[in-house]
Amino acid sequence: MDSKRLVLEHAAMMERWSALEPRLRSDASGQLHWELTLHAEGGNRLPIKIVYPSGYPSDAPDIVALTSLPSGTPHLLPGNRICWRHPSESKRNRNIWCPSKDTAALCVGVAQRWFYAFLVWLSTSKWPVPDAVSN
Amino acid sequence: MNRDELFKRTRAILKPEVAQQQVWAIIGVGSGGARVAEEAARFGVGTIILIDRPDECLEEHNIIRHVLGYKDLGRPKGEALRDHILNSNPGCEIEVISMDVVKDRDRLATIIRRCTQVHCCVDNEPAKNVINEEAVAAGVTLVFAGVFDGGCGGEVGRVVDGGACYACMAAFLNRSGRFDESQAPQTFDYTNPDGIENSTAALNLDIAQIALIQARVGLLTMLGRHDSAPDFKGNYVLFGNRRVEGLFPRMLSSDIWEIPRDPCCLICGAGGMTEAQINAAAEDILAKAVCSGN
Ligand SMILES: [Zn+2]
Repeated sequence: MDSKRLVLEHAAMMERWSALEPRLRSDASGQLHWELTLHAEGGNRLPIKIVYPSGYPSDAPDIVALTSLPSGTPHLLPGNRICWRHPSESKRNRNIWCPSKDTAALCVGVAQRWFYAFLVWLSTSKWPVPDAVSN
Repeated sequence: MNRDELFKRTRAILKPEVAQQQVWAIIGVGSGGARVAEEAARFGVGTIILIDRPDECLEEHNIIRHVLGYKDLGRPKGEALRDHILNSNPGCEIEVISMDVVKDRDRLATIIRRCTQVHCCVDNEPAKNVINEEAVAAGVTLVFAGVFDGGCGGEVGRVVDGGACYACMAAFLNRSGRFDESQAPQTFDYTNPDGIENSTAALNLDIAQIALIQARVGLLTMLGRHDSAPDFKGNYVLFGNRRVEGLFPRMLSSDIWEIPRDPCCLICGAGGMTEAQINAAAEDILAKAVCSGN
């Protein structure tokens, strides 16, 4: 990620989600990711990280749950990654990851929505929203 | 080869000395890219860099819509295309590079910086985005093209230094509601009846039509025809091979749009900061990120 992008990513994240106190971290190889905790009613919390892949921003970030989730959780990919993109997006379609407009801040909203759906699934065994793609 | 004789019939339109100075990269040498490369050689472009994925060889199902044929079956497409092109312009310098542009960004950037124009002839979004980013960073003109499902038509865009980039255009086209590729008819891929469609089903002439427009936009760019010139005022060509309800009112209909640059584009926009301010802010962010990570 170049310097300009990094600054714009940081600004977008802080502008939208500073209340969640997102922290930007760097691993040993220099790969950057955000860490933050999502909150829902009833005191439920989901710590996540949003990882910038090496091909960023052409490749969208990965959203990873930082807690173990029950086996059989729908819309969860290997590596505890939250499934949030449609496999057909190798072609240009509506609502796909758009590198000129989207930042990791988008992923926080996506993860929040996934978290609510997950809580509904825990109590009803039904995933309440149709658009996430099952693994 | 007698150079004067070779260009005798085109010299009045296009001086071969002008084209000789050009360096074009053609990224993706499938049906569309191979045709753009072939036209470039016929314009007299001095150096053509053919880039394709590693192990991309000509298979039998490619032949029906490719400039290459059975003689080259099983050969790497780039190498076979080089021989094919040299047959019509032996004076052309051709480099063949086998690489994954998404994984090998630094190498791609080095190649693009040497070019006078880059032609994006790949059909997947991540590769298009990577090529766009590197062309914008280098300030090199990028011409991209795409064939719509079923070959009903296609698009050709030109990204010039300071103008709308591919990402600006893609966002404009997708999210403005002005244009929606899903209006194009969905087609079934008969080459792969059991699986997900992996390639746009289109006829050779459908692809060639769009590729020739791409080559023409490259030609106009080479001749210095920019946005103010009356023969190509705009940066995006939409062309219908067939009539499609709501998209192409009749066969062979075309339109040229001027898609505006998005000043807030994260790829080509400056974010309202100077380079020094950007670098200082980035350094500060990185310093804090490392501290909190250890
Ligand atoms: Zn842009």
